[in-house]
Amino acid sequence: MSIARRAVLAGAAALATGLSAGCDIPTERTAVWHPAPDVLLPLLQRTVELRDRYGEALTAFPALQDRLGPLKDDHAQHVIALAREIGLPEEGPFPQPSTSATALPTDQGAALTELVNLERKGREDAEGACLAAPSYRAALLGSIAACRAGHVEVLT
Amino acid sequence: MTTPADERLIAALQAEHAAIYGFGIAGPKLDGGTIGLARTAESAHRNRRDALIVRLAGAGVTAPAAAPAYQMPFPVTDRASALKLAVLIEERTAAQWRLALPVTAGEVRKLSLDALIDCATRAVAFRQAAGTTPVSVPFPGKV
Repeated sequence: MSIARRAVLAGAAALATGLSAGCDIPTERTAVWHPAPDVLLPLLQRTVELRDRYGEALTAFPALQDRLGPLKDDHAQHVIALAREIGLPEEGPFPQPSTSATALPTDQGAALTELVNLERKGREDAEGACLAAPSYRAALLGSIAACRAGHVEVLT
Repeated sequence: MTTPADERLIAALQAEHAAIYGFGIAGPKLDGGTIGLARTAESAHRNRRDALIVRLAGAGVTAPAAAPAYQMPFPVTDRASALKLAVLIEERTAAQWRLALPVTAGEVRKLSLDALIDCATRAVAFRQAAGTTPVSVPFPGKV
């Protein structure tokens, strides 16, 4: 008991003095000081990607502004709402996974097809999150899933 | 005794009753391009109503019957006002289903989510038919 207790106290002392590198305190003793990332973080990250993909499409095909602009704005609203829910600053930056971004298709039709597929996947993503969510998050996630389903309707 | 989930499902059922009545009013004012959309919508609302009645009966809850008539929020006289009504019906029904999400879990939350998604998707389709912009809203069902 005394060893475990000393380890915890030492861990606390190390944190208090800002020491971390080279410390021999076992990680399971110090992990308690670092909360796990929010389960919604991956959804937020994919929502940022979705928003930004619309941004790329609008840069490449400005004539699609009337059709795609409002959909991009919806995703931007989702980013803000999810960031707020997680407790991150609304404007980011958000920790993004290091994914290899593929180039947007150069053909407009192919780019739109890609967006439809992303919306379908995004809808399933948000549906799964809604069904697994605690009460207080279910309505937000349900609305995000419903919005993405509506986007598929707009794009097809 | 009714649970909070039962109460939300009762409210959703009342919205479905009103939706079915509303499409009965809107339908005759629509044209060839939009009547099919309205028929599909009405049929979907009937299916949800029936599923809700079965579910509530199974839980030993008395399902409220439809009112003989519902007050329309504005006169429905032509295609434009009929489409406006269709959008409003879908938005209001979506709002009731959204309210069911926090108080339900598992299979009943899935049923509520499916209904919210369907209503929101049809609202987009009716806004497109009406030429309303923007055609989508960021948080369907949120009022």
